[in-house]
Amino acid sequence: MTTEYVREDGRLFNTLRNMKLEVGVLNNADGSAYIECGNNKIIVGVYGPKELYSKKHAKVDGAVLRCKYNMAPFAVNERKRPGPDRRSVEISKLISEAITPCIFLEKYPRTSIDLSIEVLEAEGGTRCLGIVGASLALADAEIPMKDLISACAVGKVDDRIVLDLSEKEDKEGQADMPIAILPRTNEITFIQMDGHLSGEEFDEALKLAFEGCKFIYELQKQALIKKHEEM
Amino acid sequence: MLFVEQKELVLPGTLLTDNDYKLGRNTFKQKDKIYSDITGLAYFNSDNVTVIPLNYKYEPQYGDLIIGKVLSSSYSSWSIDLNSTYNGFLPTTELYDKNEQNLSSIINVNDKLLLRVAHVDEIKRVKLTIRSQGLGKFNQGVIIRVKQPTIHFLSEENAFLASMIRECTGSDIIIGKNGLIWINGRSEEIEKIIKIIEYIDERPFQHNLIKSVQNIIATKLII
Repeated sequence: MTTEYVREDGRLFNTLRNMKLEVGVLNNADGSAYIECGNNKIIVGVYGPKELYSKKHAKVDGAVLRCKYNMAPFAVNERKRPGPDRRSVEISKLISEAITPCIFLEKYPRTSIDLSIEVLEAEGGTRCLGIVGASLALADAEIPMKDLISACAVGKVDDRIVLDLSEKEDKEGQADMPIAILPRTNEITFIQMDGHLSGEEFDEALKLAFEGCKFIYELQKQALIKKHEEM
Repeated sequence: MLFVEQKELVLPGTLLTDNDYKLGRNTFKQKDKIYSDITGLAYFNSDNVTVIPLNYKYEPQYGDLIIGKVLSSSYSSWSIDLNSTYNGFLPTTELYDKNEQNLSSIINVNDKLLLRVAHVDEIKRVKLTIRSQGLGKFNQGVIIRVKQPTIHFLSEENAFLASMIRECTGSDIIIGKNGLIWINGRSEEIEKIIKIIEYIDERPFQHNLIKSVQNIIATKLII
Protein backbone atom coordinates (compact mmCIF):
# COMPACT_ATOMS: atom_id res chain seq x y z
CA MET A 1 0.00 0.00 0.00
CA THR A 2 1.41 3.36 -0.98
CA THR A 3 1.19 6.13 1.56
CA GLU A 4 -0.67 9.13 0.18
CA TYR A 5 0.87 12.54 0.16
CA VAL A 6 -0.48 14.63 3.02
CA ARG A 7 -0.17 18.40 2.93
CA GLU A 8 1.03 20.59 5.76
CA ASP A 9 -2.46 21.31 7.06
CA GLY A 10 -3.49 17.63 6.87
CA ARG A 11 -5.38 17.76 3.58
CA LEU A 12 -4.96 15.40 0.62
CA PHE A 13 -4.06 16.74 -2.84
CA ASN A 14 -7.73 17.03 -3.88
CA THR A 15 -9.40 18.26 -0.67
CA LEU A 16 -10.86 21.72 -0.31
CA ARG A 17 -10.77 23.63 2.93
CA ASN A 18 -13.89 23.53 5.09
CA MET A 19 -16.46 25.70 3.38
CA LYS A 20 -19.59 27.39 4.66
CA LEU A 21 -21.89 29.31 2.33
CA GLU A 22 -24.81 31.46 3.45
CA VAL A 23 -27.24 33.48 1.36
CA GLY A 24 -29.28 36.55 2.27
CA VAL A 25 -27.26 37.90 5.19
CA LEU A 26 -27.59 41.65 4.52
CA ASN A 27 -30.99 43.29 4.99
CA ASN A 28 -30.47 46.41 2.91
CA ALA A 29 -28.85 44.74 -0.09
CA ASP A 30 -30.89 43.27 -2.95
CA GLY A 31 -28.85 40.09 -2.68
CA SER A 32 -26.01 39.00 -0.43
CA ALA A 33 -23.82 36.08 0.51
CA TYR A 34 -21.34 35.17 3.23
CA ILE A 35 -18.48 32.71 2.75
CA GLU A 36 -16.17 31.02 5.17
CA CYS A 37 -13.44 28.84 3.73
CA GLY A 38 -10.60 27.86 6.02
CA ASN A 39 -9.71 31.15 7.66
CA ASN A 40 -11.21 33.25 4.89
CA LYS A 41 -14.27 35.29 5.72
CA ILE A 42 -15.90 37.20 2.89
CA ILE A 43 -19.17 39.11 2.67
CA VAL A 44 -20.68 40.05 -0.71
CA GLY A 45 -23.57 42.41 -1.44
CA VAL A 46 -25.41 43.18 -4.67
CA TYR A 47 -27.24 46.48 -5.15
CA GLY A 48 -29.42 46.99 -8.19
CA PRO A 49 -30.18 46.96 -11.07
CA LYS A 50 -30.96 50.64 -10.53
CA GLU A 51 -30.97 53.60 -12.85
CA LEU A 52 -27.54 55.12 -13.32
CA TYR A 53 -27.53 58.84 -12.58
CA SER A 54 -24.34 59.59 -14.44
CA LYS A 55 -25.55 59.40 -18.03
CA LYS A 56 -21.93 59.48 -19.17
CA HIS A 57 -21.25 56.01 -17.77
CA ALA A 58 -24.61 54.45 -18.62
CA LYS A 59 -24.98 52.17 -21.62
CA VAL A 60 -28.09 52.28 -23.76
CA ASP A 61 -27.84 48.60 -24.71
CA GLY A 62 -27.30 47.05 -21.31
CA ALA A 63 -26.46 47.32 -17.64
CA VAL A 64 -23.04 48.27 -16.30
CA LEU A 65 -21.54 45.84 -13.83
CA ARG A 66 -19.48 47.69 -11.25
CA CYS A 67 -17.47 45.61 -8.84
CA LYS A 68 -15.60 46.76 -5.76
CA TYR A 69 -13.23 44.45 -3.92
CA ASN A 70 -12.05 45.73 -0.59
CA MET A 71 -9.88 44.18 2.07
CA ALA A 72 -10.36 45.24 5.66
CA PRO A 73 -7.26 46.58 7.45
CA PHE A 74 -7.54 43.76 9.99
CA ALA A 75 -7.93 41.01 7.37
CA VAL A 76 -4.24 40.09 7.23
CA ASN A 77 -1.58 39.53 9.88
CA GLU A 78 0.21 42.77 9.23
CA ARG A 79 -2.19 45.72 9.14
CA LYS A 80 -3.13 46.68 5.60
CA ARG A 81 -3.42 50.34 4.75
CA PRO A 82 -7.15 50.98 4.30
CA GLY A 83 -8.55 52.11 0.98
CA PRO A 84 -8.12 50.99 -2.60
CA ASP A 85 -4.67 50.02 -3.79
CA ARG A 86 -3.15 48.49 -6.91
CA ARG A 87 -4.07 44.95 -5.93
CA SER A 88 -7.71 45.58 -5.05
CA VAL A 89 -8.32 47.62 -8.21
CA GLU A 90 -6.90 44.77 -10.27
CA ILE A 91 -8.98 42.12 -8.51
CA SER A 92 -12.15 44.23 -8.89
CA LYS A 93 -11.60 44.35 -12.63
CA LEU A 94 -10.83 40.62 -12.81
CA ILE A 95 -13.95 39.65 -10.90
CA SER A 96 -16.28 41.87 -12.91
CA GLU A 97 -14.82 40.46 -16.15
CA ALA A 98 -15.17 36.90 -14.87
CA ILE A 99 -18.86 37.43 -14.06
CA THR A 100 -19.94 39.48 -17.10
CA PRO A 101 -20.27 36.54 -19.59
CA CYS A 102 -22.92 34.82 -17.47
CA ILE A 103 -25.32 37.71 -16.76
CA PHE A 104 -28.01 38.86 -19.20
CA LEU A 105 -26.94 42.49 -18.97
CA GLU A 106 -29.01 43.44 -22.04
CA LYS A 107 -32.24 42.99 -20.05
CA TYR A 108 -31.60 46.14 -18.03
CA PRO A 109 -30.58 49.07 -20.28
CA ARG A 110 -29.39 52.32 -18.65
CA THR A 111 -28.82 50.71 -15.25
CA SER A 112 -25.95 49.66 -13.06
CA ILE A 113 -25.47 46.57 -10.95
CA ASP A 114 -23.17 47.28 -8.04
CA LEU A 115 -21.26 44.47 -6.44
CA SER A 116 -19.28 44.98 -3.29
CA ILE A 117 -16.95 42.30 -1.97
CA GLU A 118 -15.65 42.85 1.53
CA VAL A 119 -12.83 40.61 2.77
CA LEU A 120 -13.00 40.43 6.56
CA GLU A 121 -10.30 37.81 7.01
CA ALA A 122 -7.88 36.57 4.34
CA GLU A 123 -5.90 33.38 4.07
CA GLY A 124 -5.21 32.76 0.40
CA GLY A 125 -7.65 32.39 -2.50
CA THR A 126 -9.83 35.43 -1.83
CA ARG A 127 -10.32 36.27 -5.51
CA CYS A 128 -11.81 32.83 -6.22
CA LEU A 129 -14.05 33.01 -3.17
CA GLY A 130 -15.04 36.52 -4.21
CA ILE A 131 -16.32 35.14 -7.51
CA VAL A 132 -18.15 32.28 -5.77
CA GLY A 133 -19.80 34.73 -3.39
CA ALA A 134 -20.62 37.22 -6.12
CA SER A 135 -22.47 34.62 -8.18
CA LEU A 136 -24.43 33.50 -5.09
CA ALA A 137 -25.37 37.07 -4.26
CA LEU A 138 -26.45 37.74 -7.86
CA ALA A 139 -28.63 34.63 -7.80
CA ASP A 140 -30.10 35.82 -4.49
CA ALA A 141 -30.84 39.23 -6.03
CA GLU A 142 -32.73 37.38 -8.79
CA ILE A 143 -30.72 38.89 -11.60
CA PRO A 144 -31.04 36.77 -14.78
CA MET A 145 -28.00 34.58 -15.26
CA LYS A 146 -26.99 31.76 -17.61
CA ASP A 147 -25.47 29.75 -14.79
CA LEU A 148 -23.87 30.04 -11.38
CA ILE A 149 -20.12 30.59 -11.55
CA SER A 150 -17.79 28.61 -9.38
CA ALA A 151 -14.10 29.16 -8.96
CA CYS A 152 -11.12 27.63 -7.19
CA ALA A 153 -7.35 27.67 -7.32
CA VAL A 154 -4.92 24.88 -8.18
CA GLY A 155 -1.17 24.97 -7.82
CA LYS A 156 2.07 23.09 -7.55
CA VAL A 157 3.58 22.52 -4.11
CA ASP A 158 6.56 20.19 -3.49
CA ASP A 159 6.35 19.03 -7.14
CA ARG A 160 2.76 17.90 -6.71
CA ILE A 161 -0.44 19.36 -8.15
CA VAL A 162 -2.78 20.34 -5.32
CA LEU A 163 -6.23 21.94 -5.05
CA ASP A 164 -7.23 25.10 -3.13
CA LEU A 165 -3.94 26.58 -1.97
CA SER A 166 -3.69 28.15 1.45
CA GLU A 167 -1.72 31.33 1.98
CA LYS A 168 1.46 29.48 2.97
CA GLU A 169 1.29 27.10 0.01
CA ASP A 170 0.65 30.05 -2.24
CA LYS A 171 3.83 31.80 -1.07
CA GLU A 172 6.13 28.78 -0.90
CA GLY A 173 4.74 26.76 -3.80
CA GLN A 174 6.01 26.67 -7.36
CA ALA A 175 2.83 27.64 -9.19
CA ASP A 176 -0.63 29.06 -8.52
CA MET A 177 -3.53 29.05 -10.96
CA PRO A 178 -6.99 30.44 -10.07
CA ILE A 179 -9.81 29.41 -12.45
CA ALA A 180 -13.49 30.35 -12.74
CA ILE A 181 -15.86 28.21 -14.83
CA LEU A 182 -19.50 27.93 -15.81
CA PRO A 183 -20.06 24.35 -14.60
CA ARG A 184 -23.03 23.56 -16.84
CA THR A 185 -21.22 24.20 -20.13
CA ASN A 186 -17.64 23.80 -18.85
CA GLU A 187 -16.70 27.23 -20.16
CA ILE A 188 -13.75 28.98 -18.55
CA THR A 189 -14.48 32.63 -17.80
CA PHE A 190 -11.29 33.48 -15.95
CA ILE A 191 -7.83 31.95 -15.68
CA GLN A 192 -4.57 33.27 -14.32
CA MET A 193 -1.25 31.61 -13.62
CA ASP A 194 2.00 32.51 -11.98
CA GLY A 195 4.94 30.17 -11.55
CA HIS A 196 5.91 27.36 -13.87
CA LEU A 197 3.95 24.28 -15.00
CA SER A 198 4.83 21.87 -17.80
CA GLY A 199 2.23 20.92 -20.42
CA GLU A 200 1.18 17.68 -18.72
CA GLU A 201 1.10 19.35 -15.32
CA PHE A 202 -1.12 22.09 -16.71
CA ASP A 203 -3.61 19.55 -18.08
CA GLU A 204 -3.63 17.69 -14.78
CA ALA A 205 -4.11 20.94 -12.86
CA LEU A 206 -6.98 22.00 -15.11
CA LYS A 207 -8.74 18.66 -14.61
CA LEU A 208 -8.31 18.94 -10.84
CA ALA A 209 -9.65 22.51 -10.89
CA PHE A 210 -12.76 21.41 -12.78
CA GLU A 211 -13.43 18.72 -10.16
CA GLY A 212 -13.03 21.28 -7.38
CA CYS A 213 -15.29 23.82 -9.13
CA LYS A 214 -18.02 21.23 -9.70
CA PHE A 215 -17.94 20.35 -5.99
CA ILE A 216 -18.26 24.03 -5.06
CA TYR A 217 -21.13 24.33 -7.57
CA GLU A 218 -23.08 21.69 -5.64
CA LEU A 219 -22.46 23.59 -2.38
CA GLN A 220 -23.70 26.81 -4.00
CA LYS A 221 -26.90 25.13 -5.16
CA GLN A 222 -27.48 23.69 -1.69
CA ALA A 223 -26.99 27.11 -0.08
CA LEU A 224 -29.57 28.71 -2.39
CA ILE A 225 -32.12 25.95 -1.93
CA LYS A 226 -31.64 26.03 1.84
CA LYS A 227 -32.50 29.74 1.99
CA HIS A 228 -35.77 29.24 0.14
CA GLU A 229 -36.77 26.16 2.11
CA GLU A 230 -36.53 28.19 5.31
CA MET A 231 -39.01 30.68 3.87
CA MET B 1 -39.11 15.30 -21.45
CA LEU B 2 -39.51 17.49 -18.38
CA PHE B 3 -36.53 17.58 -16.04
CA VAL B 4 -38.26 19.37 -13.15
CA GLU B 5 -41.73 19.06 -11.69
CA GLN B 6 -44.50 21.64 -11.87
CA LYS B 7 -43.94 24.39 -9.26
CA GLU B 8 -40.50 23.09 -8.32
CA LEU B 9 -37.82 25.51 -7.10
CA VAL B 10 -35.25 26.09 -9.86
CA LEU B 11 -31.93 27.95 -9.86
CA PRO B 12 -30.16 29.91 -12.62
CA GLY B 13 -29.01 27.45 -15.28
CA THR B 14 -31.33 24.59 -14.26
CA LEU B 15 -32.36 22.43 -17.23
CA LEU B 16 -36.16 22.64 -17.50
CA THR B 17 -37.09 20.66 -20.62
CA ASP B 18 -35.90 19.57 -24.06
CA ASN B 19 -39.42 19.51 -25.52
CA ASP B 20 -40.50 22.03 -28.11
CA TYR B 21 -42.05 24.52 -25.67
CA LYS B 22 -42.34 28.24 -26.26
CA LEU B 23 -40.12 30.43 -24.14
CA GLY B 24 -41.96 32.20 -21.34
CA ARG B 25 -40.67 34.65 -18.77
CA ASN B 26 -37.18 34.13 -17.35
CA THR B 27 -36.18 31.23 -19.57
CA PHE B 28 -33.63 30.92 -22.38
CA LYS B 29 -32.77 28.41 -25.04
CA GLN B 30 -29.38 26.86 -25.67
CA LYS B 31 -28.84 23.96 -28.11
CA ASP B 32 -32.60 23.11 -28.26
CA LYS B 33 -32.85 22.84 -24.49
CA ILE B 34 -34.68 25.29 -22.26
CA TYR B 35 -33.04 26.58 -19.09
CA SER B 36 -34.15 28.84 -16.27
CA ASP B 37 -32.23 32.08 -15.76
CA ILE B 38 -33.44 33.02 -12.29
CA THR B 39 -34.23 31.59 -8.86
CA GLY B 40 -37.95 30.86 -8.83
CA LEU B 41 -40.76 28.39 -9.37
CA ALA B 42 -41.13 26.60 -12.72
CA TYR B 43 -44.59 26.57 -14.32
CA PHE B 44 -45.41 24.42 -17.36
CA ASN B 45 -48.44 25.67 -19.27
CA SER B 46 -50.01 24.01 -22.30
CA ASP B 47 -47.48 25.36 -24.79
CA ASN B 48 -44.99 27.49 -22.88
CA VAL B 49 -42.80 27.29 -19.81
CA THR B 50 -42.20 30.15 -17.38
CA VAL B 51 -40.27 30.71 -14.19
CA ILE B 52 -42.00 32.89 -11.61
CA PRO B 53 -39.48 34.75 -9.43
CA LEU B 54 -40.13 34.71 -5.70
CA ASN B 55 -39.33 38.32 -5.02
CA TYR B 56 -39.05 40.65 -7.96
CA LYS B 57 -39.39 44.29 -8.87
CA TYR B 58 -42.18 45.79 -10.94
CA GLU B 59 -41.57 46.04 -14.69
CA PRO B 60 -43.55 48.88 -16.30
CA GLN B 61 -45.93 47.84 -19.05
CA TYR B 62 -48.31 49.81 -21.24
CA GLY B 63 -51.64 50.48 -19.58
CA ASP B 64 -50.74 49.58 -16.00
CA LEU B 65 -52.38 51.53 -13.19
CA ILE B 66 -49.65 52.68 -10.82
CA ILE B 67 -49.13 54.77 -7.71
CA GLY B 68 -46.10 57.02 -7.88
CA LYS B 69 -44.29 59.64 -5.82
CA VAL B 70 -42.98 62.84 -7.37
CA LEU B 71 -39.20 62.97 -7.03
CA SER B 72 -38.29 66.18 -8.79
CA SER B 73 -39.62 68.64 -11.31
CA SER B 74 -37.95 70.24 -14.28
CA TYR B 75 -39.26 72.83 -16.74
CA SER B 76 -40.97 70.28 -18.97
CA SER B 77 -41.62 67.18 -16.87
CA TRP B 78 -41.83 65.59 -13.43
CA SER B 79 -39.73 62.63 -12.45
CA ILE B 80 -41.78 59.96 -10.68
CA ASP B 81 -40.60 57.16 -8.39
CA LEU B 82 -42.38 53.99 -9.54
CA ASN B 83 -41.04 51.57 -6.90
CA SER B 84 -39.26 49.86 -9.79
CA THR B 85 -35.82 49.72 -11.42
CA TYR B 86 -36.66 52.69 -13.61
CA ASN B 87 -38.14 56.11 -12.82
CA GLY B 88 -40.99 57.41 -14.92
CA PHE B 89 -41.57 60.88 -16.35
CA LEU B 90 -44.79 62.84 -16.53
CA PRO B 91 -44.71 65.63 -19.14
CA THR B 92 -46.22 68.99 -18.14
CA THR B 93 -48.31 68.87 -21.33
CA GLU B 94 -50.40 66.27 -19.49
CA LEU B 95 -51.97 68.99 -17.33
CA TYR B 96 -55.56 69.95 -17.85
CA ASP B 97 -55.08 73.64 -17.31
CA LYS B 98 -52.68 74.90 -19.96
CA ASN B 99 -52.95 78.49 -18.68
CA GLU B 100 -51.71 77.75 -15.20
CA GLN B 101 -48.29 79.35 -14.88
CA ASN B 102 -47.34 78.29 -11.38
CA LEU B 103 -46.84 74.54 -11.85
CA SER B 104 -45.97 73.91 -8.21
CA SER B 105 -49.50 74.86 -7.23
CA ILE B 106 -50.73 71.74 -9.05
CA ILE B 107 -48.11 69.05 -8.48
CA ASN B 108 -45.36 69.26 -5.90
CA VAL B 109 -42.39 67.16 -4.94
CA ASN B 110 -43.47 64.28 -2.63
CA ASP B 111 -47.06 64.29 -3.92
CA LYS B 112 -48.54 60.82 -4.38
CA LEU B 113 -50.23 60.39 -7.75
CA LEU B 114 -52.41 57.78 -9.37
CA LEU B 115 -51.16 57.38 -12.92
CA ARG B 116 -51.27 55.14 -15.93
CA VAL B 117 -48.32 54.01 -18.07
CA ALA B 118 -48.67 55.66 -21.48
CA HIS B 119 -45.63 54.27 -23.23
CA VAL B 120 -42.49 52.20 -22.57
CA ASP B 121 -39.78 52.31 -25.23
CA GLU B 122 -36.87 49.96 -26.05
CA ILE B 123 -34.52 51.51 -23.52
CA LYS B 124 -37.20 51.41 -20.83
CA ARG B 125 -38.05 55.09 -20.65
CA VAL B 126 -41.43 55.17 -18.97
CA LYS B 127 -43.86 57.87 -20.07
CA LEU B 128 -46.83 58.35 -17.77
CA THR B 129 -50.22 59.95 -18.16
CA ILE B 130 -52.63 61.61 -15.73
CA ARG B 131 -55.32 62.41 -18.35
CA SER B 132 -57.84 59.68 -17.81
CA GLN B 133 -60.90 58.83 -15.74
CA GLY B 134 -60.14 58.72 -12.03
CA LEU B 135 -56.44 59.54 -12.20
CA GLY B 136 -54.93 62.32 -10.14
CA LYS B 137 -53.49 63.30 -6.80
CA PHE B 138 -54.19 61.50 -3.50
CA ASN B 139 -55.34 63.84 -0.74
CA GLN B 140 -56.07 61.30 1.98
CA GLY B 141 -55.74 57.60 2.79
CA VAL B 142 -52.91 55.22 3.55
CA ILE B 143 -50.42 53.73 1.09
CA ILE B 144 -48.75 50.42 1.94
CA ARG B 145 -45.96 48.61 0.13
CA VAL B 146 -46.24 44.89 -0.63
CA LYS B 147 -44.29 42.34 -2.62
CA GLN B 148 -44.97 41.83 -6.31
CA PRO B 149 -46.49 38.29 -5.98
CA THR B 150 -49.16 39.75 -3.67
CA ILE B 151 -50.17 42.26 -6.33
CA HIS B 152 -50.34 39.46 -8.87
CA PHE B 153 -52.55 37.46 -6.49
CA LEU B 154 -54.90 40.38 -5.82
CA SER B 155 -55.22 41.73 -9.33
CA GLU B 156 -55.52 38.82 -11.77
CA GLU B 157 -58.23 36.19 -11.45
CA ASN B 158 -58.79 36.99 -7.76
CA ALA B 159 -59.80 40.62 -8.26
CA PHE B 160 -63.10 39.76 -6.59
CA LEU B 161 -61.23 39.66 -3.25
CA ALA B 162 -60.56 43.38 -3.47
CA SER B 163 -64.18 44.16 -4.31
CA MET B 164 -65.27 41.85 -1.49
CA ILE B 165 -63.15 43.87 0.98
CA ARG B 166 -64.56 47.08 -0.50
CA GLU B 167 -68.14 45.94 0.01
CA CYS B 168 -67.64 44.50 3.51
CA THR B 169 -65.94 47.56 4.98
CA GLY B 170 -67.23 50.43 2.92
CA SER B 171 -63.71 51.64 2.34
CA ASP B 172 -61.82 52.32 -0.86
CA ILE B 173 -58.90 50.27 -2.16
CA ILE B 174 -56.78 50.94 -5.21
CA ILE B 175 -54.22 48.32 -6.16
CA GLY B 176 -51.30 49.81 -8.06
CA LYS B 177 -49.51 47.33 -10.27
CA ASN B 178 -46.16 48.59 -8.95
CA GLY B 179 -46.50 47.09 -5.49
CA LEU B 180 -48.33 49.90 -3.68
CA ILE B 181 -51.87 49.70 -2.34
CA TRP B 182 -53.91 52.76 -1.39
CA ILE B 183 -56.59 52.36 1.28
CA ASN B 184 -59.06 54.95 2.49
CA GLY B 185 -61.84 54.61 5.03
CA ARG B 186 -62.44 54.63 8.78
CA SER B 187 -59.20 54.06 10.72
CA GLU B 188 -60.31 50.81 12.39
CA GLU B 189 -61.34 49.38 9.02
CA ILE B 190 -57.98 50.35 7.53
CA GLU B 191 -56.16 48.46 10.27
CA LYS B 192 -58.19 45.34 9.54
CA ILE B 193 -57.52 45.57 5.81
CA ILE B 194 -53.79 46.06 6.36
CA LYS B 195 -53.75 42.90 8.50
CA ILE B 196 -55.41 40.89 5.71
CA ILE B 197 -52.96 42.19 3.10
CA GLU B 198 -50.01 41.43 5.35
CA TYR B 199 -51.35 37.89 5.75
CA ILE B 200 -51.29 37.47 1.96
CA ASP B 201 -47.90 39.14 1.69
CA GLU B 202 -46.28 36.59 4.01
CA ARG B 203 -47.36 33.55 1.97
CA PRO B 204 -48.26 34.48 -1.61
CA PHE B 205 -47.51 30.98 -2.95
CA GLN B 206 -49.46 28.99 -0.35
CA HIS B 207 -51.82 26.29 -1.50
CA ASN B 208 -55.53 27.27 -1.25
CA LEU B 209 -54.72 30.82 -0.23
CA ILE B 210 -58.00 32.14 -1.69
CA LYS B 211 -60.09 30.05 0.68
CA SER B 212 -58.17 31.01 3.80
CA VAL B 213 -58.32 34.69 2.84
CA GLN B 214 -62.05 34.42 2.23
CA ASN B 215 -62.46 32.85 5.67
CA ILE B 216 -60.52 35.66 7.32
CA ILE B 217 -62.57 38.30 5.52
CA ALA B 218 -65.77 36.57 6.61
CA THR B 219 -64.74 36.32 10.27
CA LYS B 220 -62.94 39.65 10.69
CA LEU B 221 -64.86 42.10 8.59
CA ILE B 222 -68.49 41.06 8.60
CA ILE B 223 -68.89 40.54 12.33
